Amino acid sequence: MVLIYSDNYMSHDQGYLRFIYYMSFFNASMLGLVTSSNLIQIYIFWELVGMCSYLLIGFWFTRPIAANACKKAFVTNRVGDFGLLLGILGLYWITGSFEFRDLFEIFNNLIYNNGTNFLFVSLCALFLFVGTVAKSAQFPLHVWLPDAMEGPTPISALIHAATMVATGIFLVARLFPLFIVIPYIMNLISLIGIITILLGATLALAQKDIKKSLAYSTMSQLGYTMLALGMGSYQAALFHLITHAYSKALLFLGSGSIIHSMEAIVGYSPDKSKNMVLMGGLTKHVPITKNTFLLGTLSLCGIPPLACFWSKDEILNDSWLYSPIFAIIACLTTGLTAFYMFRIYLLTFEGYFNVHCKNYSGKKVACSIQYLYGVKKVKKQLKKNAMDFDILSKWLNPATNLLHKNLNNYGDWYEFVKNAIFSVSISYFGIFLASLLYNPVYSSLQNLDLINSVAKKVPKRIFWDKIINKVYNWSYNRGYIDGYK
Amino acid sequence: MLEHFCECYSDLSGPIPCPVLGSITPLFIPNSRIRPIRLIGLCASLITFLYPPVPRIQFDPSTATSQFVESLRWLPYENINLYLGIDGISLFFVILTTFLIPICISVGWSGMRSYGKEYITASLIREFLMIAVFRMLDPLLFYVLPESVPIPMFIIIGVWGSRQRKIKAAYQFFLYTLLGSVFMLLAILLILLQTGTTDSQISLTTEFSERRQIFLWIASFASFAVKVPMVPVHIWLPEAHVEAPTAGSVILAGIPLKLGTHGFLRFSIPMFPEATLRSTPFIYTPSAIAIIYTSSTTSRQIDLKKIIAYSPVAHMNLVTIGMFSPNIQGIGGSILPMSSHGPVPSALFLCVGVLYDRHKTRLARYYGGSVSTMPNLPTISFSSTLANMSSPGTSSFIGEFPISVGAFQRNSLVATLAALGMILGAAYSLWLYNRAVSGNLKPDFLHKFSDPNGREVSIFIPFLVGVVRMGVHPKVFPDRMHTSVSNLVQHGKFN
Repeated sequence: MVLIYSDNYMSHDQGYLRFIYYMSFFNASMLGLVTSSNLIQIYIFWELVGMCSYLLIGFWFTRPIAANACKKAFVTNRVGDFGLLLGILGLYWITGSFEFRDLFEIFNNLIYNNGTNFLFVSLCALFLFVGTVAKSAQFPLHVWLPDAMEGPTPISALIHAATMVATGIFLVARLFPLFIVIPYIMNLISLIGIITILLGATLALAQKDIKKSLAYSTMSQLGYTMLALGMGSYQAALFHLITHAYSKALLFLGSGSIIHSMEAIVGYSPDKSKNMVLMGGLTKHVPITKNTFLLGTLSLCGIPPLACFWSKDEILNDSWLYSPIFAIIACLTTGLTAFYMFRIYLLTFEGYFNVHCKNYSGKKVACSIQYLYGVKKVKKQLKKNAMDFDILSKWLNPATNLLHKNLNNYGDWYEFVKNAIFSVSISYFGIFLASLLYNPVYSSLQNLDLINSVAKKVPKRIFWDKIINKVYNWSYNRGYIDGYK
Repeated sequence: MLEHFCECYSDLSGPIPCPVLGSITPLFIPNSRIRPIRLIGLCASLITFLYPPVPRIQFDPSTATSQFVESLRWLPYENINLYLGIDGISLFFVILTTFLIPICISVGWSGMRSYGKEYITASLIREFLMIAVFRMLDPLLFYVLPESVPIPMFIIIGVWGSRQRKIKAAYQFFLYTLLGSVFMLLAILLILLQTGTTDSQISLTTEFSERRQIFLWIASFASFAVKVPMVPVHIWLPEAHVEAPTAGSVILAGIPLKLGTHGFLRFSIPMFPEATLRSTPFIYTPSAIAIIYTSSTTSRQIDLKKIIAYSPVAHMNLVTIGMFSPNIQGIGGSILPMSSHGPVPSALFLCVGVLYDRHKTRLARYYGGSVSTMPNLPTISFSSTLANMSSPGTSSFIGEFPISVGAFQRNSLVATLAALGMILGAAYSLWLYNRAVSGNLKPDFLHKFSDPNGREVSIFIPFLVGVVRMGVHPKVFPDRMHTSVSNLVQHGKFN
């Protein structure tokens, strides 16, 4: 689907053929990766996928920023590959095989019979995990993901929302039986997951650029997935991966069409066209994009009928069982997620348009793709509600599930509703805060007189002004906070 | 009739006189008529290239003994004969040599205006020597031939090199190698005294005492270490490569670099197995240091050619790490990068050579954004850069992976450091590539651009094909080598 979108998106670009070529190569490598049956094959395709991302991020190679970004992505990935290689070698040394089936059997035997040095085994698993950390942009090696937004939007949608960053998660899921017998590694995985969640969410709050905030949001959601894997709820992680992939792709495609519209106005400079400060009030111009973007945003925030709610809720529930501290942080970050997602949405679409312009109608194909995604999302949530969750679990054939002894306990509706209400309320709170700060109702030109009259009538105006001024001075970029104008 | 013809044809002394004839003939033609000289040179090298595929087809991979052996009585009263033959390990090196020389000659096509016939002569004599190197079987030739190979190289660097520094570089190259090899001569004389003959079969089966083995090993190590090149004595390599003309660099990266590791493989490991086992840490340390040190120091170089010149150091040291991990993955794995390492830096040198041809400068700061004006060259150099980085899909990966596996089983710390070199290798290769190719053009420095023309692109194609073929379907190579390698491992009782 992204290919169809990119057909239209890149139709004006003279490097069109090269783009499709690279995309197809990427698709091939990705498919090779998920169908591999042994570690060497995974390693080969892992590196090939990294190379494709280098080519795609640096697609517009004449921009020095893009050239630097692709180098950064590749070298960071290489660091991960180093770890992965060492992990593979260590595992080979211990078990003597690269194939997954043999690997798991021999490995389990060895662990239970205390056949090997436990420290060494943990070290190997750690190295394998380092590979994942680099590929899925987890905490220490996440630095390449925001810079990777220099590439064209379709590849951001494909690579950095859905597929390449999923490679790392895929590896951990594949090697899940290996990791699960080593408790230290599981703790480490969830720890890195939680750090990434918090880091991504807080960084996303401060971005001017629409794609960069979406990038940080991706990082944060991947942290959720990693947290779930570390806790042992394998299905929740993969489920969240899938739903997030859909939502994020939708959001990226939407942002792509916005950027295209902005380009028509402010010119082709990527600094200006992606800058959210200059946007705002696009509602009347690109209504289709707005609707689909809203759908994606709501989904990602975890609002009930939509897809991500179910997966995120699952993860949050499990986190309560795993460790209260992690759960508190995760729930807080849900609120933060809602906050920054709606910040993006509101800054982009509501309010009055900060740049004087002419009308621009969104691209028809792009919009239809987005509609399709939106419809899919709605369908998804209809399918994947709690009862049908079992189907997914049967598909995934989980090895073990540490936290839920019986999977049919979702008959306990009361428990579920209680938890659900809690997490949803946090999301709503975040949304509320965002709309409070970024709500443009107060700043539309027509209402200016009303504001002044209201303000004059308020008795403690001076005090209120002082507070506003303080907050104003403190905020990083004054253009943001529309509500206080 | 046909069998008789094939027999004669497959007689491996073909590749020996052919280049020699080709090198002598131009001496009779005056230098002003450059065209026939070049053509004769090219034809001679192409004919030589036609020789090796026949033994390759006729090669019997099931035995480990040398095939197509010839001997030449040299000093009968000392019982010194010269033996030449091929086994699984040498086969590919011979093919590589004969493949690279015609390319060299066609690369230097336009640069041969001055001293044309000397160039052809030197190249072809060099070819003869190198083929003989890979086919030699007895210890005396182990000294004579690898020492003779630098002589034509010395001439080529010194005469056709590009800068003033070439004289110094040529001297450095030659003297370093010579100094190391003098020790090797001592070792060979000692072997000769003990065994009384230079027949390699006898030398292989002689039991040297352990003390003597260690001494012999260290003496030959001195020679091979310079050639590999290992860290303290690697200085000649960047100098020689940078100062050599493009064709010289291509062949230098291709073959003489393999002499060191080939020597280890043929000479040290089979003949002195206990000493090898004892001295493995002694090899591992400089090799690991070399990989990390050279990869790091490459990042701060400003001359494009020097950057590429350092990468063989790292690769060859990886090969020695593999070679001295005494299991079949290590040794078998180390031969593959040796043969893959022929095309890869050679292709990169050719790319830089193309750039140098056009702009007469190799400093990296003048280059940038070349993909906007010369789209074909970056495609080719990207593939070569990927191969340099040992990316999967290229031949270097096929070699690097078994080496890592083998080394890890012997000593995991060294394997870790070697893998670290992988990251650093990616970093500097990609930095170089990115710098020259992406980004903005620098019109202050460079005005005119032209894409590689037909001749140059057709030179590149065999390299790319070779690299990709070996990367994607490497099964052919280990099949041929397997018997010889396992024989080697068993002989040393390493398992």
